[in-house]
Parts: sequence; C-alpha cells; structure tokens
Amino acid sequence: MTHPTISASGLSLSYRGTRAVDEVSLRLERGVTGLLGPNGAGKTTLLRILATATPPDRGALTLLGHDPSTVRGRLQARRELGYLPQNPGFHSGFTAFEFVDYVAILKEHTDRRARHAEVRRVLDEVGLAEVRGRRIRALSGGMRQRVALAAALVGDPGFLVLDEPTVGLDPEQRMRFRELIAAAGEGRTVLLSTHQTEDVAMLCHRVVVMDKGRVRFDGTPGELVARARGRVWASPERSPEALAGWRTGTGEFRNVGDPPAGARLLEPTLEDGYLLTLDGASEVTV
Amino acid sequence: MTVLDRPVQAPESAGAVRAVLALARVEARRLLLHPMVAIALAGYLLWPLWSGSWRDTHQVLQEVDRESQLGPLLVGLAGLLAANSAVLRSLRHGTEAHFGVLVMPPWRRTVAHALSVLPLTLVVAAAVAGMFAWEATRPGAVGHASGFELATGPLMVLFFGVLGVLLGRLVPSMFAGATAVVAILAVTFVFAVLPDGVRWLVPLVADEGAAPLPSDLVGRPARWHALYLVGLTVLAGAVAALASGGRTAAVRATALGALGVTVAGTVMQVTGPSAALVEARERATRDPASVQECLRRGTTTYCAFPEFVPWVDEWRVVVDGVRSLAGEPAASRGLVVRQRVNALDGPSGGGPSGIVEELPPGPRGEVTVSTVWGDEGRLGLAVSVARGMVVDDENHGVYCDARGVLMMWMAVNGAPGGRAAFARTQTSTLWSPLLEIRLRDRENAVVRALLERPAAEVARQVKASWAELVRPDASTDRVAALLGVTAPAETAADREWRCA
Repeated sequence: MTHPTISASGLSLSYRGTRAVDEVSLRLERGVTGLLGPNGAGKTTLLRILATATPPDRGALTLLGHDPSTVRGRLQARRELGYLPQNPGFHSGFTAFEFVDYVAILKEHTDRRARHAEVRRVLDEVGLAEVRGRRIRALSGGMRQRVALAAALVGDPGFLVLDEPTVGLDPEQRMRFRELIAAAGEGRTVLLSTHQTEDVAMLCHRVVVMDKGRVRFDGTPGELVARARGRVWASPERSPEALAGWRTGTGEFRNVGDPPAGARLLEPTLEDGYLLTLDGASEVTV
Repeated sequence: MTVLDRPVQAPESAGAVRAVLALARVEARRLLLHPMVAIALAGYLLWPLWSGSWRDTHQVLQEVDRESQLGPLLVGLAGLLAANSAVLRSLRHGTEAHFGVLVMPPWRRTVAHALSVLPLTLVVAAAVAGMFAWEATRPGAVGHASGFELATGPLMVLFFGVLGVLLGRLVPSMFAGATAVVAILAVTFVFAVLPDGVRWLVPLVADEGAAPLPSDLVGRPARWHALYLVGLTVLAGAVAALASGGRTAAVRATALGALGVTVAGTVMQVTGPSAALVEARERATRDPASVQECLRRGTTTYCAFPEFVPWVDEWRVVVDGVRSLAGEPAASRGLVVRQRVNALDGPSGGGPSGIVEELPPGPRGEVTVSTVWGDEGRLGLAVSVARGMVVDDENHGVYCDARGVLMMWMAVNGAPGGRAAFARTQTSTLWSPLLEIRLRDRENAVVRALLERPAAEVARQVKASWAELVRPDASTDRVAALLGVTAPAETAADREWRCA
C-alpha cells in the first residue's frame, strides 16, 4: 500500500446547526479520486476543508505530510496545493497569462523569469498557449475553465482539488477537460468533485460518495458498479418495486432497485451504483 | 484535533517579502496604466504646455514650490480611485475563494497594494522636480524653494493611494472611494479658509491669497506637514493591513509608530507662526526699508527685498521708459522705487476675515513695485511710476481731469505691451494693472484719441506743457486742446463719479 498523501480522520463542520460535514475520514493517494454526491451533500465544504479554506470544527487532517491546524503547516500545505473552486472568478481585464502569473505570485513564486516560464508551461499544458495574451473577458467558458485549471496547476502542486470543473461545459469541452484532468492526475493526488458519474467512470481510480455530510461509499468505480449488480432490470412498464425507473430508447423501462423474481437483469452502470448507494442510506466502505 | 479559524501569518521570510514586492510591481504597473490615473497624469503633465505657463518667466521659487501641489492633488485622487478599485478587484470578480487559499495571506496583499502606489508617487515626484527645475532656470527666477513644499505633492499622491487601499479593506464598495474623493475636495476647499489650527489637517493647503513674500516670511510649517502626511500614510497602510488580518507585532508597532508621527506632525504644524516671524512680517510690511537692499541708478533708487534684487535692472527699463515721457522737473527729480508686500497674514494674505487686505499707500516720493514680475508686473510698475510722476500720491482716486489722462497715457506708452493692454481694458472686463488708474469714459476717450497720434509728437507736447498738465485745475478739455485732440462732452454717467 502506498503512503497516503492526504489523510483525514473524523472531520466535522457545522453551519448554523447543520452538520455540513459529519465525521468524514478519508485517505487519498496518487491518482484521481472522484467525489460524488447530490447538491447539499457537503462535497464543497469538504473540499474547502481539504483546500485549507475552512478549518473543520473537529477532526485531524494531514495534507502532504503537513498539519494545516498549525500556521506553518497550513502555509506549507498551501505551497503544495492547487485549488479550482466551484465557480472560479476571473479578473476579466487580465490576459490569461497575467491572471495565472498573478496567482503564481500569490503562491510566492518570486523569481520573475522562472515564474513566467512556469506560467507558460501550465498554459501550454492546458492548451492555451495560443491565447495566453488574450483578455479573459474575450475567452469562451471552456477556455476560462482551463485558465482556472492552469492557475491551480501552477507550481506543480502535489495535491489538486477540483470542485465541479466540468459544470457548464459542452460535451466537447468536457471531453477536453477530462483529458487535462487525467494528465494532471499522473504523479499527483487529484480530488475531483462532480455531479457527472461519467467523469468518475472515465477518470477516477477511486470514488467517494457523500450524502448529508457523510461518506456513503469509498471504493473503486468497479466496486460501486458491483453494488448494483443484480439490481437493475428491464421491463415493458415501470416496475412498482423500482426505486428509480425510466423509459429507454428501446421503449423498455430500465429499473433500479430490488427486482421481482424472474426479472430480466441488465448490466449495471456506475450511475446505478451511485443511485442505490444514496438510497441505501447505509455507510459502506470497501 | 481542532483547527482554529485565524488568518494565516507567514513566517517572515525573504521569499514572502519578495512575493509582496513582486505583487506590488504588478499592481503598480496596473495602477499606472489605469485609465483614470493615465488621464490625470496626462492632464497634470500637459497642463503647463496647454496653458502656456511653461513660457512664464520671473518665477518666485517660494511660490513655485507651493504651486507644485495642486496638480498632484488631481493625480492623487485618481490614484485613490484606482488603488481602491484594485483592492476590491478580487471581491468584484469573485476570486477571493481561490486567492484565500494561496500562500500569500490577504494582509500581505494589502501591503503590496499600498506599496504599488510608490511608482506613481515617484513619477509625480520626478514631474514636480522636472517642472520646478524648468521654472527655476527660466530667466528672472528668484527666491528660495522649500524641499518640503516640493515633497508635499508626491506625498499627497502616496497618501491618497494608500487611503484608497484602506477604504477598500474597510468598505467593500467602490462608492466609498468616490465618496472619499468628493469629501476630500470639499474639505480641502472648506478648510482652506479656516484658522491654522484646523486647515493644516487637510493634505493640501494652497495659500494663494497674497502676493509672493520673501522666503523668510512665508512661515508655512511645510516640514511638519510633510511629516504629518508621512505619518498619516503609514498609519493608513498599517490600519489596512490590520483590517485584513495582519495582526503581527510588526504591523501593530508600525501603526503605533505612525500614529505617534502623525500626532507629532499635527501638533507641530498647528502651532502657528513664531513671535520672531510675526515680528519680521510686521517689519517687512510697515518698515520695509529696514530689511531691504537699495541700488541707485541715475536719479532713481531701487529698494528690494534681498532675494528680488536681480529684478532691479528690469524695473529700471520700465521706470526709465515712463520717466522719459515726463517733463521737468519730474523727469529728473529723485525717485525711490520700493518693493512692498503685506506680509502681516502670511502667504494666505487672509486675516481673520479671510479677505486679502490691500497694501496701504506708500509715502510721497516713493512708488511701489510688487513682488510679481512679468507682463503684468511691468504694467503695474509703469502705472505706479506714472502716478508718482503726475500726482505723487498712491491713493487710488478717480482723476477726472488732465492728470488722469496723462497718467494713463504715460503708463500705456512706458511699458512694453501697454497699448495692447489698454485696448483690452476698453473691450473686456478682465482685470489689468492699468485699471489701477481709474478713469471715466470721457478721459478714456481722450487717451484713445492720443494713442492714435504719433507718440513722439505727443511726448514732445507733454514735456512742453508738463507744468500745466499736472496742475489739479487742468481740465480734460484743456489737456485735449494742448495735445491736439478733442474731448467728448461730459455725460450723465461721467458726472456720477466722485473725482479726486
């Protein structure tokens, strides 16, 4: 077993009496880990804790060997952290280069020549070399998101926190972004929060499902799919036993839940496993 | 384990300081290129060219240093808005969520924003120095400037910029900056007329009322005001850093130190003029001869405050020109041209009433020359000498007779540009030194008629009839007849004047 780069134990955080994050324990290693969950599940709050933006009320956290509860540890962690927040803002009057350079300065990259080389490298890495001199206000939504990714990647962080980076992107942009995330996950730890089960299926070696502030599943995508094995079936009408069911393109209904006897079982998907995990309400750690 | 929610305070390290400087450099470039700053800078730098003031000569350097402060006020206010906008940028564009987890804590960003005003300050300082050097090397420049007065403009720019940063940290709205600009302008002009104890609290104290004073009589607490501005600037920067979480011992100590400097500067600048200065101003006003240097040129003695002695030879050209038009014995009798100022209320010229008091008339046998020189100064001296030749009385009465006509004709012909200036007084209400000789329409008409005749011929006739023309009973009709022109009839409006 590899040494975890991120280790969280019993993290909790409440907002106005609501447990946004409730006794979450995680160990993240190199590669891309997907964080799935419905709206309000606590994903963003957990990500903000892991990105050192918000301290937890309780729990222990180690980021890349640093303890962010101490001033020095938090600073050290931030030096090795890349964060792409949900709805990242941009200084629209800046060029892509100027914005990423600005972020690099805030990451205390002080050598001008080396910093500029690094900014050019990350912009090249996300495919924006050609437009690095263009103002951000003139870039498309997908390009802006890549600028945000470049800003997160600057300085080659060991831990990358991506909060719903593919929201609002068209399918082509999303595919392009997946490529970038996959590349970013090579040699570093990436935690990817998303609503898109396809993102997880295509990118992640591991998936964590959260609901109501708690971890409901923590395992591989295959294991999440396996949870739905034998619980997905086809029927001509929506089956009353189904937790969820919908008519597919073939005209048949695809049902998820506890199948009736003799049902014609279908090959489950990650989404089926995810739905059943949320409905199961029991915490499962594989 | 519990994590405390407190601002990250990076250990003091060279890297952190270098990062602050790098950010300050980026922000400084953006500040200099900000449209408002660029426009204000362009306006400030181009104004002397556009207005033609770059051609002015005979500058009094103890005035020039003070006048250097108005342009930087404009640049400083633009800097305030631009710095405020830069500080609020991350809030405005929603980047705070991201920047908040980067290594540099917000308070260091604040420090970088405050430092980013320095290059703009240096640009203004260079402009002030350049403009001053230009004016100091123009022909006829006299006097002594104060380095502290010259520093006030750039310091004001720095203070306003840092104030913009502070406002951005205290009030998350662009309206605060705009409101501050309006308030600063209002306070600057309202406080200008308040007593010394209060008016020095605003950054710019223009003191534009009086004619230039000898530099040793100016007595402005420029040194303490500069210290006050430095203290205020550092205090604003330190409070901004504290407000954004920089509650380190160093920042607290800086804030306390700056507060001390500000208080010291405030106290020292509002103490008012010393007894020795008050006495010196009294002496220079009431008994200027006791502090002046006098030079004799022909039958004229020129007495000037020591700094203004270099102007004597230029005064002489005007004096000789006017005297050459007079008849005997006035043309060759002894005359004292004395420089006089009203220094009692200092450079503002405003006493408790705030009204600039006029200089009282000088004694007989003397004519007054002011501390202003140039086209208007020449005309003013020509008027004084003409009055001295004709009536030997500096009381500004209305002469409804030959003396009024004669004084005006001599002043107009004795000073370069006199004819054009007189023509302007006939068609415009703009002030001119020629208006110190107050004439009715009737006498003005005679002067106009005389100016249409050859000057040399009129001069010959003036000299020939001098004794009669300067008698109080020589009428306007008589002067017209003697000099070969026709006087119009007296109108009802003419009769309303009270004549001397």
